[in-house]
Amino acid sequence: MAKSPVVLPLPGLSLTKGLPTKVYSSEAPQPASQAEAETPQPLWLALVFPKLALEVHDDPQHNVPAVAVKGYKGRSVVHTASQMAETQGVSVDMPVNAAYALCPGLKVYELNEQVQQNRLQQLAVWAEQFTSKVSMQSPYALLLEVQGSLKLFGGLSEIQNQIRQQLSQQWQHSFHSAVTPTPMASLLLAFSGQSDVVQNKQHLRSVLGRLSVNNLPIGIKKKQQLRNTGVRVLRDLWRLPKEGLARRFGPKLVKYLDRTLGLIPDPLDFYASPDEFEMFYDFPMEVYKTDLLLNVAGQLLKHLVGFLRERDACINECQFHLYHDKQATRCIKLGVRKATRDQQHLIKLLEEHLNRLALDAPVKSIRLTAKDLLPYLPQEQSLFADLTFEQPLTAKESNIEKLLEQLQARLGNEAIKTVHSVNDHRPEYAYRFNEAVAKKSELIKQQRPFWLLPEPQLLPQKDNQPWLKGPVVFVKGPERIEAGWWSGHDIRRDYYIAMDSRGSHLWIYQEHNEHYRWYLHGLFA
Amino acid sequence: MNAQLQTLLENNPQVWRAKDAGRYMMTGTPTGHPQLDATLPAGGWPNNAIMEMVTPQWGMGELQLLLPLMRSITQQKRWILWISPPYVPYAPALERAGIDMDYVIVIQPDTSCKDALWSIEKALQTQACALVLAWLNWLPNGVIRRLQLAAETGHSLGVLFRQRNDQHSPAALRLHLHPSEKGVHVEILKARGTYQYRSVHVNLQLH
Repeated sequence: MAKSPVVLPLPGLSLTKGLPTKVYSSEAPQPASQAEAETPQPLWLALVFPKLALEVHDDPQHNVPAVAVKGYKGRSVVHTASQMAETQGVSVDMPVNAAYALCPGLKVYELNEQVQQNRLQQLAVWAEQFTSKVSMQSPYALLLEVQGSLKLFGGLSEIQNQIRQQLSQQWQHSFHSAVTPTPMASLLLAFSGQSDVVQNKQHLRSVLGRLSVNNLPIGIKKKQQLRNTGVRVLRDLWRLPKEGLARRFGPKLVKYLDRTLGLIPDPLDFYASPDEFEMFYDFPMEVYKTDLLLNVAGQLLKHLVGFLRERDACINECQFHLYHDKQATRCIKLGVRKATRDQQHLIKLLEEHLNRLALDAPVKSIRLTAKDLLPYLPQEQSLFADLTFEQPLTAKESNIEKLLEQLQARLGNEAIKTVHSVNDHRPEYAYRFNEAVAKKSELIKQQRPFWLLPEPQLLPQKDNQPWLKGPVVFVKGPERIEAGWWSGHDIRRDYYIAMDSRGSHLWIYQEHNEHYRWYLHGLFA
Repeated sequence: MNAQLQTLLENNPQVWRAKDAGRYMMTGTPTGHPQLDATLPAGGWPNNAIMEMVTPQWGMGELQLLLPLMRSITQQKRWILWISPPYVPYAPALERAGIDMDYVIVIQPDTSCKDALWSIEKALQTQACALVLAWLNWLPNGVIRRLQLAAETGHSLGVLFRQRNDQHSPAALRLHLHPSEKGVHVEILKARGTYQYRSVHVNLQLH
């Protein structure tokens, strides 16, 4: 028997249970209506990254045999093998010991599905530059609807060229791609390693017909069953009556075939890229030096800038999280005054931060996040250069808004306040922080100090006179303030303006209750 | 001297010549105190600069000195930022003095020194903020120089209130306030544009 090609589990084909599982009749498909014929058929470009599980690891594996292994029934078996390993006889589902026996210099990685998924997501974001309809087919495939983009890019071959170029240079992923009018057919072809382009649904049967049934996303038992009945390639399947096929192999298979051929619609979930940027990098070993950190962080920033470019957005803050082994995560905030997506600028900022940073523990991994995307505005430049002082008021207003936002972002909302006066005779209740006073309070007629102590300060006494690092000379007073008895915070005080020995002008008062103590309440600055 | 070089130097506002004293620096904002205006080389508070006010203790007229400036700034609907004031800026008194409190923003004193410095710089760079008042104890010269640059970009005035007199500060104007009977005695420690350091008595209605 010919060596069967490596079969990878076809992703994204869990057939939805919600759909009615009726067996599709073997009648000829309904001819497309006139309107349907006029609208261009969708064209699906499938991108399959068969070695994704290996390629998410950064060290190059071009010239070393490498495998990613997964646990299976208590043993480690090969999940993905590199090109080099495959040529030496390593195959998927082989126990890892057997693989070691075949090639002694084997590099073994643990399969990390989360990392793989993250990378696929990044690829989906990247793919959004070609079309708005990108569907993630976990674990390692993408589907792109490119019909709508043909005109923009100047033809399918141009799109394919760009994809090929960027994937091999920027991402360094190996991939298969195929283009057909139905998503499943594209995926099937790409998984089989065929890079066909089929523009018309009618040709799908003949193109797919040569594929082995081994490529179908069905269980091994069913494949064996198919082979036992003499069905080796898909062409053989086309010849079988659907009813019988459904009875023997279940309606799912028939439905899958119909979807593949475009006989029934095949709705997909499209990837909606998040409005936040998040990228994670696991260092292969712990990092002690900031220049190494800077290198990686620069790469992350590069991705961030690309992400922003795709959305025509910019940011005024992003955060780096440094993860240590035992210590708490350290967070570096990069804030800029004017929203930007300038990579150089951000890297410079980061450099400043990192230079100041004392790394007291090695860094395990690093994460970059950016929230609150702002619409990108190209640098505003005035026609006349000397618009420095005489800006219109609106621009100034917006300036202060920006400033306040920034201050709040850094210092916290609590730190920034406005002070307004409130109608109250009691001095300590006559102002309020952070409140927009609806009606203007009346201007007071009496003398009040510019500085008020948050709490009145008890003054020591000498001979029944207040004492503040020396005797206090009374300048003016007294002014009796008596109010608040209705609220429980009643006061009865005699206020004086006084001068201390160093020349500060004080606002002090004497309590009129059982103690007659002296307090400092304000300073005339 | 090479004529070309000469014109280059002539046109550079950064180059200050002693013979130009009194001519080119006369671009200050009037302080509102005639005696002080007459003494300061710029004819008032310097524009686009950092100014240092050394006051041995608070409450000796330091805000009164700035009052006319603050009044005119809020009337122009520009903003004043108070960074870490030592006490509560008492709104009724300030309003009574003619300051529109809608244009006053206060940053609380429990802000860390680093954050406060950062805020000063940001505020100075923003043109909407015409005046930044800051009460800080720790201020190395390098920081002041940096704030000076920020004030120049933002065309704003930064006033740093300090209780200690540090020599060799790069601020454009440095004043030392001494208490006196009827007002305050202002000693000019340093003023850009002059090398004659004088002191002047300013009458203030402190209360």
